[in-house]
Amino acid sequence: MTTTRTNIAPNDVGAVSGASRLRLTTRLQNSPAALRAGIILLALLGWEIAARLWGNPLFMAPPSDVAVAFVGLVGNGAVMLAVWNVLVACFLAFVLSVALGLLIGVPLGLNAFLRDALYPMVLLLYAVPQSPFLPLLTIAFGTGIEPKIAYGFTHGIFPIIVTVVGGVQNIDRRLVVAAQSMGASRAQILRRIVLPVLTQSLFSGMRLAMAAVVLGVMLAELFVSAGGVGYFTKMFSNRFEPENLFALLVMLALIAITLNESCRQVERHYTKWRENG
Amino acid sequence: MIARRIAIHAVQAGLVFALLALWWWITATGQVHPFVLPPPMAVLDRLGKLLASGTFWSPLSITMWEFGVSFVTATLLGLVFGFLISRRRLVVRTFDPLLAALYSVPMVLLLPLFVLTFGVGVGSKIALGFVVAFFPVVLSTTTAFLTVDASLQRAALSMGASQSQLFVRVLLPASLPMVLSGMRIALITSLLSILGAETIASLGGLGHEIFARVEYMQTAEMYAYLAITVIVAMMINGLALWIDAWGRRKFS
Repeated sequence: MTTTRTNIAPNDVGAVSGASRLRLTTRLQNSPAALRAGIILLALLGWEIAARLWGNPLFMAPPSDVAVAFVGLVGNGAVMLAVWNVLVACFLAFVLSVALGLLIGVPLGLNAFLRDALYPMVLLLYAVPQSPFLPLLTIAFGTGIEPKIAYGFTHGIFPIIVTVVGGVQNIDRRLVVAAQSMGASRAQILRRIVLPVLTQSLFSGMRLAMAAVVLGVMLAELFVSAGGVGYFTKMFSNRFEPENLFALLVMLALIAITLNESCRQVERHYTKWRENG
Repeated sequence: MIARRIAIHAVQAGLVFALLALWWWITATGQVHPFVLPPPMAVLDRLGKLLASGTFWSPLSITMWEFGVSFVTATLLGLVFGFLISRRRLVVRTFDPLLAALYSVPMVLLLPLFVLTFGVGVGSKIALGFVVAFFPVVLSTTTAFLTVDASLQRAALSMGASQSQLFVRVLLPASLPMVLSGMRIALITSLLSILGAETIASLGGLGHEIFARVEYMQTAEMYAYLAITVIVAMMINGLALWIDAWGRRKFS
């Protein structure tokens, strides 16, 4: 969402009616963040009132109850262990994706023959929908943390391969030729030319991979109901404890946002020097 | 050049053949239990029977119904909301970051809540497919409409176009490629979420069949259903890619 916007608003003129209103709108215009906070607050308030007045307590919990339940879950060792394992699975799946993605992507990017032969097959595999494969996970990997790591990995590796292949291909051939003619070794070319160019595309690949890994791990967590987070979501649903279910899902959503957002920040940080230089 | 092309195809064919041979070998020699991975011929046999008997039509139609309802409603509402948001700069700056932040949350997390409120059946799948499809459409529509030349809009409005005419006659055609890209993402992600949701908790559909075959230990049939599901999803994805490319050719 970083496209440059030519903001046009043909109807904005209608807001001019009275000095005080104008001042309020300009003040709000300067802080969409405040307006956003207001909308979120209003939505929470609406949810609270609606849940208290019309919601069936078996299926619906107001946000205040969810907040209380959230604190309760933080004090619950078994739940926290399951949530911690989500983080561990995301981390391991991400590291595996990046490592193996580089191991496959770099040779494919550097060698034209390998690329022409194998890259179409990689892309075909990437296009295969993964969600129907969920039931295979427990058959192959059981109900521990392994199926989550595996599923996160199969989601994360493809964005890495694709961006690495693209990044390596984008390397200016003249740089390589120049380095070779000045007597650079293969290792030197990798270190001095390929790696610096690669890091740029790798970071955007890592952002995409993290989003994919998080999705994969969360899907696997929900599918495997014999242990981990899936066990608790199932338990809370069966016991009709919506406040605990909401709180647990909010926790997972916070993990997802934190992981995705930190990857986005890292990418932004590392692509800044490239725009300046 | 021709020798190179032949070599490329030889490598590809060799790899596919090697994988099939490996599959056959590890099942024939009992390296893996047939419950985990049945021999290739058994899967092919089940797939043939499944296709011949036509039993896959019923779960397929359930999945397609869930998918169709959620995708169509999400697209329509996404377009309308994108239009309304894109009208004012303040509204864009207020809602765009909010929607983008929500978009980065894996929507499957809502599935347990939807199952609780809408039941294990079709309702929770439609709700999930809807939420998954809505965000890419509304975000791409907002961005797309903002890029439309302001003079086009001013001209249309000064000639007395209504808001709905502006939407249908000016904004949509002028930014169709970008809107279509958002719809393509919405299409494939909602289909995948629905299939995933069906394997997690459901009463019917392709994902449900895959899950149920594992429960009944009919793994060969599970792989046959998996093959059908993958083919259907890839066909829909291919169709979406084609429409997307068509929109880009025709309108930009």
